[in-house]
Amino acid sequence: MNETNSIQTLFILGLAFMLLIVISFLVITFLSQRRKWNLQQEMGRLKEHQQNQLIEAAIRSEETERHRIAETLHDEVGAILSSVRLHFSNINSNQLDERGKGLHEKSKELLDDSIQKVRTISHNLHSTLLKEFGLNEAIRNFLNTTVKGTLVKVETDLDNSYLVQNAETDLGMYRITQELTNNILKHAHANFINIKSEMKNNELELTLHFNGNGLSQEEFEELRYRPEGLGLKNIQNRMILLKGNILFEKNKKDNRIILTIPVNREQ
Amino acid sequence: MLLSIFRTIFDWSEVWALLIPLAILLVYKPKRDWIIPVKWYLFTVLLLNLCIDFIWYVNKEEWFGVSDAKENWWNNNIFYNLNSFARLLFFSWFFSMQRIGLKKMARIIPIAFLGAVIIFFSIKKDGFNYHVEGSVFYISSYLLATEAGLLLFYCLWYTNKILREDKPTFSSSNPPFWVVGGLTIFTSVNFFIFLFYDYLDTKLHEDFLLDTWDLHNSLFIILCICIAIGLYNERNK
Repeated sequence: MNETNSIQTLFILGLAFMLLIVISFLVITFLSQRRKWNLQQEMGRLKEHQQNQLIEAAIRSEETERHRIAETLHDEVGAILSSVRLHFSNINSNQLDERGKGLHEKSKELLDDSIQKVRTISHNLHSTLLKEFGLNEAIRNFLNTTVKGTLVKVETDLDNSYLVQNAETDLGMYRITQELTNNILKHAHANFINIKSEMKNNELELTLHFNGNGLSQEEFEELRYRPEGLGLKNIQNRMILLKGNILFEKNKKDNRIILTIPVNREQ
Repeated sequence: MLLSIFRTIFDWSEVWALLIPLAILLVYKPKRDWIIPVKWYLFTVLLLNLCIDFIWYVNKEEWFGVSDAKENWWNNNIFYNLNSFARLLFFSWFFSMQRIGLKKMARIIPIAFLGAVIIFFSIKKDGFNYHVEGSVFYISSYLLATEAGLLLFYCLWYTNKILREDKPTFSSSNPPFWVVGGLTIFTSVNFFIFLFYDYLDTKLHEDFLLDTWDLHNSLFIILCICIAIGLYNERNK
């Protein structure tokens, strides 16, 4: 009986010891793997952070360059052209023959056009309006100046409850809208564009609705990796910085580009 | 009364425990390569365990003219042998998919085991449990211990391999690790029990040996729960 009991006890102890070893081994493996996993996640986050910093630096330098060009155009080229216009106005056209009068008039028109173009380019490059009147007004103004003189019909329905929350965010959204509108005008052969914005909970949703040839999400993903898809790459980079989403929907003669960015209403 | 109900539920645990991962499979339909052998294992073992428990119940209730004399009992040992082989076969398949350098070995081991089983049954004349000598109608604790030992080898190889890796091979909710974890606990205890079963059979009281089968069943429930968690985590992915 005693021998039976001791064998029984020994067996139970052996079994418990075996279980303990195995479970400890599993727990150690699990903890070690979790530690490695967390470390890898942290490395990934650092890499992403570093990548975002690089994107931010590239975008900042692009903005600085835009400002510099805008200021040069406005203050130097614009000033020179205005001065030329002033001098030109002082030319007495009555002394000229008919051909000379025609050329004088035509040159004046071209000069006015050039001054206007320089002003438009300089304003588009420089975001003064955006800083002073906010995103909605900047988009409206950009559309008016860009689409003016074309056959494209433009409509805007922008949510006025959206207030300037962050100059960088507004600038990002403005540049993306500019790039997308330019792309639509250039490639989509659209004759109708509607830009609508709406605040949804803590997100701003901006939708560009247009007819013509659109892009599907797959086409966008493919194009942005091509060297010629620099504009699309910039859009994607800006969206990464804004921590937003961009969605392309392509339908027959009815396309949508939906931009969504997080907005902190309290700011 | 309550104890009797609990006992009946526990006696059928080898059947209902399998329904937990199977329910996860049917409800969430996770789709990954490693799930295929596990799915095959679950369905095959459900069928085999149903046969095992049904025959056991026929003997217990003395249905179909079965008397309480052991010689007249229906024999379900072949299903235990098939169960053991199915476990080794499907988990060898599972481990061959895990990129732990066991692909070739995992193909050879089940074939070698099957060969060993055939040789064993053609030369061995006794074994434990309800004897029908010299056929697959009796089970040998040594064969079950060998099967458990081989599975334990796979499990330890897997855990050792991932411990040595610099990069993590899984996240905190890694599905295959749950399966390996459950299998490690199940096979380690099985290995220990079956290795000493014949010796203990001669030294200890039958009730104690029956208790070890209860332990075996409890660990089978744990294995099924671990598989279910693994399958559920795959659904999350």
